[in-house]
Amino acid sequence: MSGLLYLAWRHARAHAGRSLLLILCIALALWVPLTAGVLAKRYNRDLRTRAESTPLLVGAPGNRYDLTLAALYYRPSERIETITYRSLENLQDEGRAVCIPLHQRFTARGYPVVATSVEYAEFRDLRLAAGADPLRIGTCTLGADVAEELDLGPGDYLYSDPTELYDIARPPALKMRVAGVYAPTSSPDDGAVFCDVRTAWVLEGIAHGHENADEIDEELVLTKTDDSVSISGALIEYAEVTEANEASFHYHGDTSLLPLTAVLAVPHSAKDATLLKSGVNARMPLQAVTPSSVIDDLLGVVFKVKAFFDLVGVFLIITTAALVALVFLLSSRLRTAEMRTLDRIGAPKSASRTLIGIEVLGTLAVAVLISLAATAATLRLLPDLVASF
Amino acid sequence: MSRFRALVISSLAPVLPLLTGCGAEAPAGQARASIRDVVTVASAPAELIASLTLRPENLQRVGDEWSAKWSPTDEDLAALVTARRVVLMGAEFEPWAQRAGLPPSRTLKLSEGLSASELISTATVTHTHGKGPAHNHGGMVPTTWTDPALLRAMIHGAGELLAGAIPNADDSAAAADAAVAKRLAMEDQLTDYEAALEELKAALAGRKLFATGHGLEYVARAAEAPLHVALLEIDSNGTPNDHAAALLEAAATEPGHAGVLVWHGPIDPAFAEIASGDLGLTSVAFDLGRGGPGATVMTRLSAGVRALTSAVSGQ
Repeated sequence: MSGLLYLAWRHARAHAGRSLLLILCIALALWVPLTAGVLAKRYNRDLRTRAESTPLLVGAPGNRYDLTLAALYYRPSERIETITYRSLENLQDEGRAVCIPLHQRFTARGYPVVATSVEYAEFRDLRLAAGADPLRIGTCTLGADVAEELDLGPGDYLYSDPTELYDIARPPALKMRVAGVYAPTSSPDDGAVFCDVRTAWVLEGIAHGHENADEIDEELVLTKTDDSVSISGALIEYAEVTEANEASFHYHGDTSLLPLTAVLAVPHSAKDATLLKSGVNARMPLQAVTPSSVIDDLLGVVFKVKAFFDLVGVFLIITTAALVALVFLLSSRLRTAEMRTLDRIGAPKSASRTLIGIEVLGTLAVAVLISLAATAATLRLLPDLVASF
Repeated sequence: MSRFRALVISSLAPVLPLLTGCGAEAPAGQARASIRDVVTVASAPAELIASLTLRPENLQRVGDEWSAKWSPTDEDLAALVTARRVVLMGAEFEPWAQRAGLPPSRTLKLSEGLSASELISTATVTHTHGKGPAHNHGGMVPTTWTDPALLRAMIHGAGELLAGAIPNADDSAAAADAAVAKRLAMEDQLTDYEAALEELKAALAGRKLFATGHGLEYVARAAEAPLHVALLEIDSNGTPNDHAAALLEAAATEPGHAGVLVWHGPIDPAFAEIASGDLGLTSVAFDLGRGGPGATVMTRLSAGVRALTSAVSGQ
């Protein structure tokens, strides 16, 4: 047996080009469906895990995919309508769930700003690698990737991206103080900037800080009566919340009308989830969606396409197998004299078949190893698709 | 063969975990602080109300200021967000709460259970800037606990809202007896406060009161007396509000007032002398139960109202 192995090895070395070509062809034919399959499996698992860990989302009526993808994967969407903070209060008053505010309309250095409350960090088990949660207006806590890529840490500053660069009436970029950094979670949370929802209202321009209306420079006062003062648009609102000016930040009007993009509801039980969802969809001008259902629907479409590519992969393997078989068949014909020599020197009758079998198995084994290694390398080099969804 | 086997194993070693998706790691970073079995309050009135429902060991007070300018420290914030519940008075009594990341699901505002028509709004300056609409920084008179009816409603509401807030709370008969005793004592203090307000009402007989700041509105309403608030702002930034002073002077020349100027903070001696000499107004300090004689907010409040009644009767 060892002699046949040696002969097979020497034959492969003697025809290195042919052997290498065969191995690469088989490896390539295996790599494509294998990588696609593993990627799809991982993608599916990651998407479903995040969706299944998010019991209920409540947002404005509209595209449920936008609502879900924005809330789960921080995918920016201009189309998301806002709901009021009162919606959260109403949901909270039902006593069926812990309701967590979400506001995601802004970015900072290109990273999504997720304005929420400390309950979100508790819910996602976002652990602190350094510093603290963003418990003050104007502060933020960075996801692990953001902190690493921007080389920022507690005490540093991060500017929000201005929404309208050339419109001076829009709120300026806010200089946010970094309160902390979350530990890596291998989820979209690593690529986000977290702040309190009140900070988002500053970014919206709804909450702001400025000098007292009674104490403003007279040159900025356009008109003034006993109960009214009109101030020039040249009044500069504070673009940074500091210890000195923090107390001047305020909202105008009814705070229950302040905007949110979604409410993440964590029901106390399955019964509460059902009642809350049906109640919202039946009685309120809102929509409640179960993220796992939405993702299932989305993946259903994706996997119909994947089934087609799986079929293509199977055809590719069959075609390659047929070509490899043909190559070995033709090769065995060319090696008739070699096999006759084996017979003449007294080798067993089955030796020629065993030798070819060893060569085929060896080629296949090496090809499989290469395809596995290539698949592993591909998975390692590809970005985390869910995190960068 | 051993080299071949080693080659296969070494090739597969880095591949298998990736392909199977195994090898989940424990979460990195510092574990989050657990939620503590306490209810946290940040003001004496909220503490007064919450204490009627909770045992002392389940109630934590942070901060010792009544000032609207109080801001929680980082330690205060950590204590607030890790409590089972945060109890606020609401009605804009805690402006710092607008700037602090309190957890909505664990934050209770006692004023939210009150009828909006029962709350008193403040007149404020409307202004515009930028392209935004005209707006004002006014709002509610936050001293809701000085109205006996509102206080009773908030005590009742807190009882409902805080029931079950602390898991495994002591529900023994002794604890129930202690809770009933606290409620009865509170009821006695409230009855005494109502009596003090009746005395003030009789002394005022519908005459107008003057005050240097907001906060007396509920007392004045209970005493059925008009109230003129002159925001003199003597201490705020060193620039007194001359306009408010002029309005006060004009109002003081009209008949039908009680001849009393109520200060919620320290009395400014210079202005008190002017008010006394030129306007005939006696300055009286009334700090809404913050200080003065008495063991509790309510007893101090009653004492303050009686001191005000004495001042009014002396005119």
